[in-house]
This record gives sequence, structure tokens and C-alpha cells, in this order.
Amino acid sequence: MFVSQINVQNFKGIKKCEKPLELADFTVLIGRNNSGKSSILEALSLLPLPLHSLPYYDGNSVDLLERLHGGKSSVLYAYSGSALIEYLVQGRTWKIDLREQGETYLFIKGYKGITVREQPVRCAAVALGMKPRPKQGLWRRINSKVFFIPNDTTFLDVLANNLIQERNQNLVVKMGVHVRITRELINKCVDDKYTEILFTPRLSARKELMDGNVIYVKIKDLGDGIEKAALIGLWLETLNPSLVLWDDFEGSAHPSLIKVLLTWLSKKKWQVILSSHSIDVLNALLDVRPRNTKVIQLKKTGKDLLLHEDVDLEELETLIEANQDPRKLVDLLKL
Amino acid sequence: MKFVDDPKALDEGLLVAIFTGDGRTELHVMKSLAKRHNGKRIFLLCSKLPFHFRSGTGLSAVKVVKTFVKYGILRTLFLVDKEHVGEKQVDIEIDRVLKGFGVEVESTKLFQQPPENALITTGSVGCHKLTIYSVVLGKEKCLNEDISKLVELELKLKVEPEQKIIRKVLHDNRLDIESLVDQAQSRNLTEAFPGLTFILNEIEKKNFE
Repeated sequence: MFVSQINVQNFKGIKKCEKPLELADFTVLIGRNNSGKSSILEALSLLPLPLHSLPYYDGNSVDLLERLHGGKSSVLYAYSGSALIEYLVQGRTWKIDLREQGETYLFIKGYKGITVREQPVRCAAVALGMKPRPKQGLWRRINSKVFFIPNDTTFLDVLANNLIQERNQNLVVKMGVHVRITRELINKCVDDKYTEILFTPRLSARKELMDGNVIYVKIKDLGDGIEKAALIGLWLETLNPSLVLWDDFEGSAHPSLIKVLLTWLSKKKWQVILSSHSIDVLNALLDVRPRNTKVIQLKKTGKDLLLHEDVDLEELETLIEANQDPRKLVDLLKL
Repeated sequence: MKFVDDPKALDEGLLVAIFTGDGRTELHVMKSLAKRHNGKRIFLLCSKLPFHFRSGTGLSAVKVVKTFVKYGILRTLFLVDKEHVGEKQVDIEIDRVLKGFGVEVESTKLFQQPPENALITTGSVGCHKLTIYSVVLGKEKCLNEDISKLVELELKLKVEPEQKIIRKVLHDNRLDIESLVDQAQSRNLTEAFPGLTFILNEIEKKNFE
């Protein structure tokens, strides 16, 4: 497991957590709107190197949060002061400190702060058990470890634009990802049969017709749900991150696509943390039953203290079989 | 007594969570019956799913009381259709399910004559004391039989205990299930829903203890 624990202070709408959140190999965050689900995912998205570029975005993870929320102070509680996020990454404590003035500090336990500040890439690589050489592209390999999918409609365009860059395109084709994703994701959710995803002149899926002719259907024309699944699938399969963070997982997805995606995600070695409002996701989770799964119910008090309760698959099944809605019960959580 | 379907609407008081089978008719009846009981600060919470996703309408669903403890729910009202009970002895079966899921059963009180098939079970999970009120709905099949009895008593009409037929008759009389219960005489409610009215009275008594 890449990250087993997170504790957040003064980050976005969360003043502090009642206790650290213990994460599983497959974690689903549920709770009302403004209960802290996205905040937890965004706090995790700052890992591993918050100030180094992301392979799938034109900037670093702090830039991405700024873009989503309009400025650095927007990620700070009450828009001022500093936020402190503490993680347990592969058994080692990491801390990220975001300041109002714009500075961001990374601490990794076992290294003196000054060393991490001067050589964050090297320190992160060693802490993650990666060889710090060759230096070239090391930050890219490190920041490929975490992949964050925000609930933002324009983010898909960002993914598509970066994917068609020659370097990424070559990587996708070389690894055969364009064929695999078509077979494992797209074809399982649509009635048509496609053979592969092509990049030129635009992202499209190749379809062989009964009469032997071939047509190229723009990915965008396959519907929002399929477009999202295809783009994310291509990136994830190519980068093979250690941690996948997916906000508002069910967005635009039919229950059958939800199940296909959950099944696909659960078959890989990565850790998955997703947020959802959908009972279809919880229901599909009971069918797919990924290894070491938990649902974390989140609730924020009037004082912006984050409460949570863990529910395992057995408990989830018991609730749903008894016709109880776990999304509503979360409101009964008390200090 | 107040029926709530969203925990946000809860206030300080006695909380009883209702869990039922796959229909929604029970909730209409409970909503109106709750209004007929004066006990203040008693909340009947129903956090029901919008659709029934998985089979679990039988007595085994009672195991959820152990998970409810997580949310501070210590009193539950379990409504189960007679057709899902069959020939099983409700008290013995509930006792078996609860024990199988780690609930220590302390007492079981089955009310048979009258009302039929109302049950109060007390038990504990760790330091938490639980009370489980159970009512078997219908004489042979389900709640529709009880509603059809109420229609007979209130409107002097014999109605087949089928949901569609009941709705049609009520519609013809400019009523729905909730308004039928709202305007019904108390003695008719007791006769039509003996188990339910008995248990709601018991919950009220408990609140005054």
C-alpha cells in the first residue's frame, strides 16, 4: 500500500481531523456535499513532490489545486495561515506544509528538513525505494506514482491534450495500452466493437464494420462516460501509478460502466481511493469485492472538525441487505 | 412521535430506526401512525435506500442491529412481511440470527394473542444495550392484508389485499394510504394493525420510563 494514513489540518474546509484516516488498498469515501471527500483526495494529490511537474498536467500538483480552486489561498482553511498534511507513505512519515505566502515545504521523516528542501527529488526517490539514478526524468518517475482525477469537466481536455503529445503517444503505443484499454474497458461498456484507440488526427476509436470497412469514431462522440474512462484508462495503464485518486467516481457513468471500471481498477496492483455519492458504486463494490476494501464515511462538524467511521464490506452488505442507506447513516456520527 | 427519513432532521430524543422490506407502503403507514402517537421527542428514523438492491427481506436482515451500534442506534423497529417468515417461529429465528452475529440476547418477549407476532428482544453488543422491536406484517402475506382490513373497517368496502386494487379503491374515494390512516378511528387502527399499534405504544411507554 502506498499511503496508509493521512491527517489534515487547516486544509480547505477542514480545520482538523478528529483522528487520522486509515486507508486501505481500495478505499471509497462517502459523505454529504462539503463533508471533506474532495479535500482528502486533494491533500493526497500533493504527494509525492508537490512542486515538481506532473506527467499528465502542465504544472505541479499545487498548480493543479490552484487551477481547481482559484489561487493558493483557496486551499487554506479560512483562506489564510498555513495547512499541514501528514501522511504515512510506505511506512514513513511525510509532511507537506502549505503557506499563505506561497511557500510549500516537504518533510520526510529520516531526512533533515534542509536536505529534503535542497534535494527533494533524491530524498523522495530513496524514501520510496527508487534508485535515485539516472537523475534525468527522476521527478517524472516519482510523480507518476500518484494519479489524481479531480471532478472537473475541463480536466479531460487536459488529459487528452497531454496524451497526444508525441512522447506520451509513443509510450502508449509502445506498451500496447491503446489496444488493451479498448478491449478491457471500452468494448465492455458499448454495443459496438472497437479494435484500438488512435491519436491522429484526433483521439478516435477504430471500428470495423460488418462489410469490412473501417470507421474512426472520435472518443468524444462515444459519450462523456466512455471518454472519461478511456482517457483515464490510457493514462493509468501507461503510468502504472502506485496510488489512484478519483473524485466523484461515478460522474457520467452508467451502472454497467461503474462495475467495469471498479473491476478493472481492482485487478491492478495500485492502491485506489475514490469518492462517490452513488449507491450504484457501493452496490457494485459488493459484487466486485476488491481485496482489502473499506468505505470511509465522512462528516464535518459545525466547527469543521472531520469525523469518520470505517465500514468494511461485510457491514456494507449487511446495511444494504437490510435496505439501509449508508450515505444517510453517516449523519448519525457523533464525536 | 415523528417519522424522519433524513438524520439531519433528528433532534434530541429517543431514536428508533425502522428497517423494512422492499416496499414503500410500510413507510406511508408508519408516517401516519407516528403522527397518531403523541409521545414527544421520539423519532422513527428510516434511512431507506431508494431501491432495493439486494435480497435481504427475510428475518436475517435483523443482523443489521449490530452495525447500527456504530451510528449510536440502540433501538430498532424491524418490520417483516409474513411471507418472508413462513412457518418459522419468529422469536427463535431472530434469536438465532442475533446470536450468530455476536449479539448477546438477554430477553425475548413474544406477544401472540393479541396482538399476534409482535416481539420485543433485548440484548447487548459490548457495553451497548439494544432493544429490537419486531412486527410481522400481514396474516398470510404482507401489510396489504392489514390495509385492506382498514379499508373494510373505515369505508365498509371489501377489498382484495392487492396493492393495485387498494390504491384504485382509495383513489376512487379521494384518499391515499396516508390520508386513510390519518382519518381512521383509533379502534380501527388497532384492529387493522394490531402488532404495529401495540409496539408503537410500547415505545411510547418506554420513553416515559
